[in-house]
Amino acid sequence: MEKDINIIGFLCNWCSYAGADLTGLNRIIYPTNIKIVRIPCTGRMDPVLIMEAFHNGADGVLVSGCHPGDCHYTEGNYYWRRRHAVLKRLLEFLGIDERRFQATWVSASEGKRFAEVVKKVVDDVRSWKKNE
Amino acid sequence: MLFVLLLQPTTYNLQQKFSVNLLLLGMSIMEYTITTNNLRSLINDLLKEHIVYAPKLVSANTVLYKTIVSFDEYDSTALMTNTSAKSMIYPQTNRLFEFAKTTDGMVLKEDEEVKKSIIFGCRPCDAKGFSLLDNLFDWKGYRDESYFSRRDKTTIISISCTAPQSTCFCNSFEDWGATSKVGSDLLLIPMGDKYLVEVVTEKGKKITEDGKYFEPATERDAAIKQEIEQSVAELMPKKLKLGEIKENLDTAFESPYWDRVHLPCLKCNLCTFVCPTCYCFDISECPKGYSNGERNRTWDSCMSEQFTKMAGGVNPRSDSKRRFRQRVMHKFRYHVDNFNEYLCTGCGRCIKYCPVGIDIRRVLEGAK
Amino acid sequence: MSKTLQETARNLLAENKVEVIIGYAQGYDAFHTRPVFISNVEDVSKLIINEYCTNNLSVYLPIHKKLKVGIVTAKEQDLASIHELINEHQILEENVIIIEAAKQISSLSSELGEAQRDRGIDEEDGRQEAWKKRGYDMAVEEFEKLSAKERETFWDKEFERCIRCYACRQVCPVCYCPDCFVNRTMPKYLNEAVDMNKNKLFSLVRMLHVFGRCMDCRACNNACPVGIPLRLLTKKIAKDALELFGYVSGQGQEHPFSTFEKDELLEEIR
Repeated sequence: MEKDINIIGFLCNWCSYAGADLTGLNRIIYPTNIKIVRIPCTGRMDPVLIMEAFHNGADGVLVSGCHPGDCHYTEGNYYWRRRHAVLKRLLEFLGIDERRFQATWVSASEGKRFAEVVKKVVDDVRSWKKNE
Repeated sequence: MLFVLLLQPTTYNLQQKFSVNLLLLGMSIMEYTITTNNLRSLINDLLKEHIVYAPKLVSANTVLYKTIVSFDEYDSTALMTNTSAKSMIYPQTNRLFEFAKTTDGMVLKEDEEVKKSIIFGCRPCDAKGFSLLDNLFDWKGYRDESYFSRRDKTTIISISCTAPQSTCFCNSFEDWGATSKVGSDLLLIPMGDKYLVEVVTEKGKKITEDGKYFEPATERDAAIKQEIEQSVAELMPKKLKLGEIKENLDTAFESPYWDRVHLPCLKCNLCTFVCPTCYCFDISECPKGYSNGERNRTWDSCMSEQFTKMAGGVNPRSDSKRRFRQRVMHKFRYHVDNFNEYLCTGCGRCIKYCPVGIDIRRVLEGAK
Repeated sequence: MSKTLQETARNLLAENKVEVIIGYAQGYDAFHTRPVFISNVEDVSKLIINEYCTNNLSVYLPIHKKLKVGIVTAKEQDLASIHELINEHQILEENVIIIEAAKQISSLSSELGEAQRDRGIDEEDGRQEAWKKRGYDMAVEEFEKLSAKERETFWDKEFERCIRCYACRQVCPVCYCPDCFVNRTMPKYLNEAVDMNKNKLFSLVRMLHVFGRCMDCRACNNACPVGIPLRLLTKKIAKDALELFGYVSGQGQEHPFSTFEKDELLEEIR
């Protein structure tokens, strides 16, 4: 069987991680391709971790945090939004397909949304892998 | 050269003349000539059984030793590659062994057998670097297997240079560079459309043995060689008085000279990494996953702050001055004390690529 | 040209306004210069200025921050770097006397001559103009038109030959951290083993660290011994800073990463 894709998900402790928890509690089915790493806040997201994930064979990386305005640390995700914009463009410039690095907002109550997000990311990365 | 060809039109005859010549000249001096076309065929033949490294144009103004798949990839126009040839035998990242955790405990896997290889188009200054490294890695009864496993299987075919740069100073050394045989197995001296071939070692002799592409050298070739040596010597920039410099350095350790001369140096590792003789290394583990990994020997540089930093935080060479002095002193004083040879071949790469234009010749001349 | 410079330097030293002058001297041949540190009046004749003065001397300022320094700038970016270092509180403004050599010279190469720093550009069009003037040519845009695969192949080939000598980092005026992330051991970001991916990682993260602080002075690009086109990356981050945040480095604006607005970049993350 062909090796399936691997996606590393960096989820913020306060919203997205709890959201992913809720997905499980609600028994919502979503792809198992995602491996979740919990981070304190998206404002802490270190670009080294993202690059390491790609270099160690991840097909995609998903970073998810609280919706703007909802950050547990008040403004961590605003800083992340700026840095993400730069990092995304730089990664694309270095030749990492835009479908492979994605970011989103998922709140603690959006269990259903988390499943949808993961499905979308998995589909995107699959479509990239197919043309690779 | 033309009449030689006319007289000896067939390979068979050439080989006959060969053996005669060997007898006449004795085993120690063996000189042949090879035409550029034959050299192409020779390298393409060697490619069947060897990995061949040769200077290759990889990007604008960047020529590096790379594995080539045909002679055409060899860039004969570049005087010098950007980095030295040492990485072919002493790689920047040299895997010593791999380790893996299995149900039977920890398993070590040594590196696979090294393949036979040829460094082609090496300059004499790079080749001399290997002879310095040989002495170092086989010193006081310890022979470094990792180094010699590659060294023993590598044949070095050097091509002497004809037009030195303003950064070259190999003429400062006794066994002067442009046509120096030190470290090479075969030395080719370009003479228009052919090369004069000097056989230096047994390994080199093996390549010339089948004789298919070689013709014996005539006295006229030897005369041309002398002319070339002469003309290159004239083109060389200034010559350092290394004897005097060594004497000055012997007493210069505490000299206030170092307080000023190090100022422009920014402590990057560039000069030590492009150098054909700098050999300092670091041993480190590189994890691969949870239970696997490898142990590597990687180049290290006395220019970096981490080089002498100890676990407790003490750093005996913490400042720029001490590190700068160490590099100069090691190459031109300490190594001379230990090995009676300078740890430098005069290739001039550290001068050419230094981002702040530090000229080691100037540094040495001023030292007192 | 060099005469005027030497005269200025001599006066500064004689009047004790500076303790050391950092300038350019003749290098190993006619086409190269080297940085020189002058603290004696007798040595000022070493100072020269010509179109081969390519180094950004402001990299020496944080090392000599305790001294009163006179520094020769040969191009606009050098001057911008000094201002950036002052803005980042790495050096004290009163300790630095800038000798704008390039302004005294008319016959410098067009690139240097044109690179006169325009003061007081704050308006949006002013920035756009400065942008064009600084020579951000089409290369970045053209490169962006390539496919992801082509870009990856390009950078793989470039970074494969990186020997990680860190010359790019050491010559960079804004890379003054005493403890660079690659030298840390706890956690260990970068293994000693050199491979293409790690080389790429180093350069990418360095670019993020100098984002908005890089003056595009080309020091890293010129320093690379194996000719990796780092300028393509520095131009890219400068372009992004302008397009995303209207930010031009060295103008004294607040750094884009130390501030934010609540209703921006709404399309970026959803």
